[in-house]
Amino acid sequence: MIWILLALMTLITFYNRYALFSPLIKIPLGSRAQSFLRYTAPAILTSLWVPIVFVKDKNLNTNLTDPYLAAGLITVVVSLLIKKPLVIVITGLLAFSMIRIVVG
Amino acid sequence: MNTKSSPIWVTALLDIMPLSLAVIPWGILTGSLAIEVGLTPLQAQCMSLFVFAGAAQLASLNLLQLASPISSILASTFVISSRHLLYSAVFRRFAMSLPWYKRYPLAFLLTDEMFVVAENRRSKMGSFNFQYAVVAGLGFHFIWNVSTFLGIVLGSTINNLSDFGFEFAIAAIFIAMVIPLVKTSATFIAVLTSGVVVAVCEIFQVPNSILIAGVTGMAAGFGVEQYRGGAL
Repeated sequence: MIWILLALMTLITFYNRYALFSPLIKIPLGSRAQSFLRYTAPAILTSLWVPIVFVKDKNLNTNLTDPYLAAGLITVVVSLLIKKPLVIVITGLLAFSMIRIVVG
Repeated sequence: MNTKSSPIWVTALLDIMPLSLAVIPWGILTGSLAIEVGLTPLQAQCMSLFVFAGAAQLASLNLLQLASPISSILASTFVISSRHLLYSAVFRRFAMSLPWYKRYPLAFLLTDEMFVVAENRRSKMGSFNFQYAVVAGLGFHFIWNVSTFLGIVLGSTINNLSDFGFEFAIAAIFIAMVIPLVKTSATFIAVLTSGVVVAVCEIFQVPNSILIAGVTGMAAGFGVEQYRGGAL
């Protein structure tokens, strides 16, 4: 039962990742489709990080002493100034831990 | 291999490392939850080995715990992992030129994290690199499975992982990858739109918020690009 479920889930996740690699699918991706897909990384990634920083308990997070919001905003500002991903991440994590300690 | 002049696998592993470390807590959670729900240790490990999709795995385990029907578990797996269709569309151009024995592993390893680093490198270097993508994907698969294994061994002794703030590490990594991509007003509008839409969806508890917000943001960016292109 569980094995069958695992096998079907494997097929589904693999299908979603493989679908457009298949030569059997003849959809031509023209230049307009390519332009549309260029926004995949910025748009999807944003929809993954914004809820962590800006949403708290199903509400807009407006508490500037909240470590997620405060450190998130600091990380955004740092990323505008410095383009080195590792520096941005480390600064963000340091800000997060320090705000946590201070706010308790 | 010609590792002296081009240690591309080293670059790939270094690039995927921060993202791999950030998911360790989620791997542990997935492993321990699988045991708690009643999977055998072998089944729990195989889930991470083969299904290999963190969000879909966690959602399906939660549904199993609620004794949900198989059909709804499979539907949730499909919807949650459907954003990978977009990634496979982005890499289609490169993948189509590869033989099947390279396309299959590339597809299997195509996670959020692998997509991000491979796409980041493609935009920096100007061309897609198969070896880089596969090594990054394998590194991530390895860490995901080791952390699942830890979760299986530790069982349910680790609770309240969200209290440690690991989620913030993921946010910080994605911010560090997204903001440098914002070079045109179209990309800015794409990011702004998906950010606003995902927040609204989450607040009003609209399901599939990531997919809805992502596609809306992509359409907004594309719209701005087309409008300006047409006007100029």
